[in-house]
Amino acid sequence: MTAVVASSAAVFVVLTLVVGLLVAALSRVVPERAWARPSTPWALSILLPLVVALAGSLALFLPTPFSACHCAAHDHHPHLCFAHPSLAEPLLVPASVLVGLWLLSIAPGAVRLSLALVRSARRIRAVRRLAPVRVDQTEVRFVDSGVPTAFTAGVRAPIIVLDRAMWAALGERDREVVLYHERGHVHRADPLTSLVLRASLVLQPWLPRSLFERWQHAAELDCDRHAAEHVGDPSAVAAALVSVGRLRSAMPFADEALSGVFGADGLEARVTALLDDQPAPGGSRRNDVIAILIPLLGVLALVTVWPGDVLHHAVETVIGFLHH
Amino acid sequence: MSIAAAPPLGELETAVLDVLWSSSSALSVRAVLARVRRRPALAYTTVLTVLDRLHGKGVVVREKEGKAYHYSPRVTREEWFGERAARALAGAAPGHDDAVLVAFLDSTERVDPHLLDKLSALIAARRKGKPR
Repeated sequence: MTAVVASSAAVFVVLTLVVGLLVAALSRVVPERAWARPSTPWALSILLPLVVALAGSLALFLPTPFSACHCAAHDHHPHLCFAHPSLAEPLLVPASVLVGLWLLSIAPGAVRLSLALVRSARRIRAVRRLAPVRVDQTEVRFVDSGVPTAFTAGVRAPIIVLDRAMWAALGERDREVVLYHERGHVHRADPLTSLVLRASLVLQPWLPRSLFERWQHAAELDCDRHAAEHVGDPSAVAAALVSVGRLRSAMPFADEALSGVFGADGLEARVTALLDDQPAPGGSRRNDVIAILIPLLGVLALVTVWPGDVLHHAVETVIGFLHH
Repeated sequence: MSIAAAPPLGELETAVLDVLWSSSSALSVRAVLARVRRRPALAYTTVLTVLDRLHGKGVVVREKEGKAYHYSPRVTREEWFGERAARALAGAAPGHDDAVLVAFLDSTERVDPHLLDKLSALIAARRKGKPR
């Protein structure tokens, strides 16, 4: 039985790698400006290899609806079968080595992320204890952060944090934009999504980090659009971005801190997108649903239709070939 | 007070500040000395120096009562730790990378003033209805 479980885990790792490399190759084809929004496809590009690999590796052990167990029919390769686990014994060593290598490769990232999460949770708890202030029916925390910034933090109940100096320096319209932008992040549960995607990237060290950055960028564009809807003027959102950028440019940053995730391109792309008056969020939501449905249907097909003996037997044959 | 502007506190300063936070009223140097639990025990002059330093940093306020100063914290414990945590989250330090935080603009992003001028001109042109 141990051999079957180890083999299943090895199939998971291989499928994650194969689908991940496929996704990485496809993402290079998509020009950044041509598909900036919606954000869901970028989130799915990170999650999809894991979902497919999980479904695929589990599907290998589902009773096939189309044929009987073929373990007894031939013995020229090992069999991944819960009914006859002894037939998978030859796979124990190679599968364990593969899974071990994968665990070794993800360990540093997992430790880093875990430590960062503990640190963040402690800090967010401390900020949450600050007295909340209601601004335009939104609960916010004002702080002297030392940086002209506004951010949303926390997974279960995100809090909006506004820098006092920035708030004082902004005009009424800019303040409204900042507030609605952050409300967009809360509404979309972006901190939670960010955490899930980062954890997924840790499990797939071969996936390019640019996929996560493109999700981040798309999420910002969506929240800019959310703010534009509420203030009724995309150019007001663009102006608020520039206002915060001006406050930021006056900061005495160290040289190595000059480039952010997107550097100046992030701001420029967001302002341009707002001025270009891109499609309404209704379309974006429809695209999101389609983007979710297509891979889900693919996974469903993989689990219910394809496995049969075809995928199962194909994987076993390949493993058997590698084994011999 | 801008707490963010205050420099980090040392271990002794934090211990003294803890005493002030635990008290419902302002304390004299002698009262602080009596409440700080440390081994070996602190000298009166040490506590006086620490309180003086905290006052210099703007972390505590003092009022003269009789011949001696009485000290009280300028902010509550929650405000102090909350503000400092927010500062850390805001990523004032280079290399900031938080998994559960999304910011209006990337916290480490500083933009070229020329680009800001160009973007302002674009926005103004759009508002006037001019072709870009």
